[in-house]
Amino acid sequence: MSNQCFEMELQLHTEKSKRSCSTSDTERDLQDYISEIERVKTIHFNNTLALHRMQMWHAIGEQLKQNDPEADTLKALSERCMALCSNIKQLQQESRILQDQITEIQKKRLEMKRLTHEKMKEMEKIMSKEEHADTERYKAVLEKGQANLEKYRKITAMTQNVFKGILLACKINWLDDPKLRELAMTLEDSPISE
Amino acid sequence: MAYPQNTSDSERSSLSDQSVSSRSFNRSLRVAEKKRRKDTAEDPFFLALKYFSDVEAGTPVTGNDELERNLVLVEKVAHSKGLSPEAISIMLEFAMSLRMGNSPCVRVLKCLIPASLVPQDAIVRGVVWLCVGKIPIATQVLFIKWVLTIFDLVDAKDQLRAIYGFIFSFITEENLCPFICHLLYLLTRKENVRVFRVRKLLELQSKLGRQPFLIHLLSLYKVFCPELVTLSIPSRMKSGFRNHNSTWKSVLTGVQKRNGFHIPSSVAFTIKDKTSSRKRKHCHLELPALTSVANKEAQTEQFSSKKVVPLVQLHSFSQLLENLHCIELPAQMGSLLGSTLALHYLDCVQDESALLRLNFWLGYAFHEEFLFCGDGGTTQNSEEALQFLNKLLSAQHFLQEGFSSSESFLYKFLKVWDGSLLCPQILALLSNIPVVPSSQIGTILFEPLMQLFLTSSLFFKCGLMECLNNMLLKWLTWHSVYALEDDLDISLNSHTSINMTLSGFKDSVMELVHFVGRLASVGLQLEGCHALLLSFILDFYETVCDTFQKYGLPLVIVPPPGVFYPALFATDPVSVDRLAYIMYRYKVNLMSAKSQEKLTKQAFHISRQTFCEFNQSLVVMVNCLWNSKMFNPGMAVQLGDELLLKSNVPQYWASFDLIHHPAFMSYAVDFHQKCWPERQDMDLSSIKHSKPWSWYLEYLFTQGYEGLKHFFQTNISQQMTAGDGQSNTQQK
Repeated sequence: MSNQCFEMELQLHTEKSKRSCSTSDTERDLQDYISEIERVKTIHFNNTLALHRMQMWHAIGEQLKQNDPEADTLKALSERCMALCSNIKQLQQESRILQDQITEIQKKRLEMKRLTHEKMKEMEKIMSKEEHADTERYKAVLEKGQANLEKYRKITAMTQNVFKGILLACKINWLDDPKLRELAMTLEDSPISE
Repeated sequence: MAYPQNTSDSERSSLSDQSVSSRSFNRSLRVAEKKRRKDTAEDPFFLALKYFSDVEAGTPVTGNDELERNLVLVEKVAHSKGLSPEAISIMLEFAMSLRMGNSPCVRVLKCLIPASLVPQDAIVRGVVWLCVGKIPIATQVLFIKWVLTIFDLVDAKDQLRAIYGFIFSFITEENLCPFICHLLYLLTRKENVRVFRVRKLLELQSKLGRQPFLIHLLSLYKVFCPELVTLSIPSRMKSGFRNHNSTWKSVLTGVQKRNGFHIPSSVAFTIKDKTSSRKRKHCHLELPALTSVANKEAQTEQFSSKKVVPLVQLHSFSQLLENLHCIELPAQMGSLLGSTLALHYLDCVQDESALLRLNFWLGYAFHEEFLFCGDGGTTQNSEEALQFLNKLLSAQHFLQEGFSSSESFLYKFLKVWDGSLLCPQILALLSNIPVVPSSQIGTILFEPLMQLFLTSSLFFKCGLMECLNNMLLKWLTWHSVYALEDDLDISLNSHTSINMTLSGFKDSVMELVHFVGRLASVGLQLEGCHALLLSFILDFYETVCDTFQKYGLPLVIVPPPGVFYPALFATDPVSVDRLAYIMYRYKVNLMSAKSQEKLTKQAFHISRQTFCEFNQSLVVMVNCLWNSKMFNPGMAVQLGDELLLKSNVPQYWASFDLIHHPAFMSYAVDFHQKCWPERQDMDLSSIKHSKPWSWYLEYLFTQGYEGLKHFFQTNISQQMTAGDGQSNTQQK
């Protein structure tokens, strides 16, 4: 790493002409350098950790070997730690089993969901096929009927609109006339469902 | 019908004797008399009302003392206790009919404070008078403003909805337009959204510009019928409808307080007043109660044979099943999240429009609440927000997938989040994200998460680790159910049509695992190998090590050195044991993968590099723990000899074996005391002899260290003697 930095410095100093570098290249290089830095940092950290722990626990081990009160407190502490660790281990076992069970159940539910969707799709296919089978014979009639329905729906909507327009344009109080009132109150309803 | 204008005590009896009177008038007189006998104070008010209901058109205003007197009386009553529904009807009719011109009309409108409810009948009448068109514009505006103010107090709305078309026609009047839009917003249902109305609104928009009131109404139309409104509504809508009720507001609240009667407001939006802080009249996050669109029973439509059942009327799962094909969804899509039946429905039936509407509602709620709070918004509403998120989470948990609007919200929110607001809920929402394509996952997910992770507390780091672990679990579960054959398109979400190939999925998982590896390494370095963080990280790797065996995904990724070594050198035995378990599972997975490859020749090819990395770690671990050969050349942890000598640790090569390891030293000491209680000076290396060694191992395994047990059983050959351990490593 340091060699690379040295080389880069040299390059910068001795370079007479400016070299154009594209952003994407530099970004890629940046990523590489970042991972390189992280890798070296990790190695350094691990080394330091190993060394530190080794020294520390050697000292603790030496302390434990003696029979003075300090060693006794250390021993008491380590007893407590061991008991706690056993507890933790047991709880972790249980939670692992439970987690496995939960994952199994979730898998089963998801499987159920997938099957439900498949079945719904099949049902829809079958239903549409059935409809098709029946309507094949009456296809022409049905189409004509639907076209008629559409036509009348449009006529209704237009009539409603026109009537509304007339009422508004006349500027009358249509509430006073019961027949008009009844009619006007239904102008919003669409009798034929979409 | 003209009746004598002034009544006095003397004429009371004469009135009752009148022959030319309808029965109702007699009855009302009798009632009035009864009332009068009880409470004489009401009498002038009742008479005033009678005056207003009976006065003839064209009666002069100026100099009319009678009018003045009665009007003042009505105003007094209105401002003190508010007007009863009948009084409101009478006064409104009087005003809007313009029987005495415009100025009394305005005065009356300004004092129309209801005491309890407002009959919708009166409002319909008022609107019809608007149709007649004799009222000046300013008064029309005043009337509509009044309707908007007391909207929540109207007893029923079906008649108002019936005249929706008439109300809509006023939208072309420029002065009225904003208020009419607001009123329509409050009244609109799905049936009212028609193509010609959408066209009209768009026309208006081109004339008046993108006014907020038009956009609001259009967005509501879009919620009901997304297919009819194709224009894109900007999701940031800062201003609601303008606050218009100032004329009546203070008096109204005063009256309501005095009456001790308050109906909470429903759907009015208000924007921030310039002086006071934002008034939250509308709880955007309150999941509305499940109601039906129309307030009627399920009925057959007159001309069709299709029976539609509103969802609110179904109360059991069997009812839901019976009516599955003719369910009518409620107007407020947010209410679906609170009802389990509705969620069942969403789960089974792939209803595109329902999901579209629900996502639209969710997106809007998220935006209003979290991305446009303004100052003080978060503190005021964190309780509400918490409830909302919890309900949303339970809905997602039930459906076992997330909503696309919550996903897009999260990507935006992560960039501005501080990591502490509603942390558990946001992390839980995050874990529900479906698989993200590997090309985008870096920018939209990893970058903001990296920033949050590196600058956060230990607990947030642990929380994020857990969240990413859950995310991975969900992805793997989804894959194991939905990927039936190799290389088939896996649908990511039961509702979207985005598919992903198996290799694409593997790429995303790999990206995730590598990202977590990086986060873990850096996190451990930052937090000094904190045991809690290490535990969450090892949780994650417990999931990763079994991807092949448990979830059928042909992928093996070994832990990076930044995670492996801190776990190996951990000071607590639990972590070391878990690491041993993880390595054991890795070996099982690798071996089964290899055997499968030989058997079926499937395209599951583990790269040589994976094997090398794994072997290296395995050798290190065995050497370290069993063979007491620490700090060998070729290990990743290499310290120079001089440095090791300087450390003053004798036999440094044995400093991490099962006896001297920081995690196990106390066990060694304990064992030593139990094994040789009579010995005074402790010599831990004496455990290394063959018999004590096997006893020591037994002792360790009985303490619950199953991971170590499995690890050593699979990796050490039968001899099981210290220093002689051969490790069976997997060579390719």
